[in-house]
Amino acid sequence: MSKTKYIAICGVLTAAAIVLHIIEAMLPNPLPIPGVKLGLANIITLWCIYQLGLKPAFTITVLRTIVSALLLGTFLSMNFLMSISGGIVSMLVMYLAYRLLRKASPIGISILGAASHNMAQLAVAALVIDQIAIFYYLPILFVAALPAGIITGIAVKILLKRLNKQILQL
Amino acid sequence: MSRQDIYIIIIVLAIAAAAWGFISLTADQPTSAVAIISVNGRQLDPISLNADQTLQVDGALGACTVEVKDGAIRMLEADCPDKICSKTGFISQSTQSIACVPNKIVITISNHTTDKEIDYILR
Repeated sequence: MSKTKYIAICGVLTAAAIVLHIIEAMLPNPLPIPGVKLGLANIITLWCIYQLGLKPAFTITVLRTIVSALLLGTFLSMNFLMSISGGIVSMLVMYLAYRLLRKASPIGISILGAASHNMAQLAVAALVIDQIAIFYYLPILFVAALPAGIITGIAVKILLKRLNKQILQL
Repeated sequence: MSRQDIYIIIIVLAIAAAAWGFISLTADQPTSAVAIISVNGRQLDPISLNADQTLQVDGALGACTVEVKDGAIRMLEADCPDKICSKTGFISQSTQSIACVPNKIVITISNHTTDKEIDYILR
């Protein structure tokens, strides 16, 4: 793949991830539970892990959280800290799952990503408010990770079929 | 969905169930909360809410009976005209208190870890 094409693809993916992140932040929360969300931007991260590898997936995740936070006005807030740590941890977990669990489909890997995202968020929240008791919240967030992971996993599955290295002629 | 996906779902559910079980097992531990009774502004020794007991407290008008039961405390009987203190009933959270103004008795609870009521929601 030529370097120009690579840079252009990464830029487009970052832009798409930012748009998904901001759209999700604008949508009203269907459940009155803070922290429970779909994780639409995860679609881009997982696609990137499948098609481009670890390094661009990491860069796009970090850039996406920082730029979205700047646009939403939450930069360096509690939300931002939870978002960026959750994003990085879930990206690493999904990459490991992709390398180790060869038979798992994007749906299973996406569920692991959602669960580890919630776990990292809780860990940051526990550190910031200095209360281990917030882990009482873990069962709710783990159960909520299932539908979120399945929905984004199905989206990644469709996306991988419609948009991959061959179609992009990378 | 492959077989490994099903395993992943089962593992995530199992962790959630295990955490839930651990929480409900540890949540009903005996409280370490104590009741602090003060008479005329002077604090008496803290009373543990774990052991059920009744005790006498000398107020400004006369002796009052305080009862500790099931991790909560109440003013069972008081020598006062309006009985607001005994009508308050049992208290167990540090946000609650019992006051008997004629007897100059105030009962409060001290402990932050046993409070189950939500202070705030962060989002």
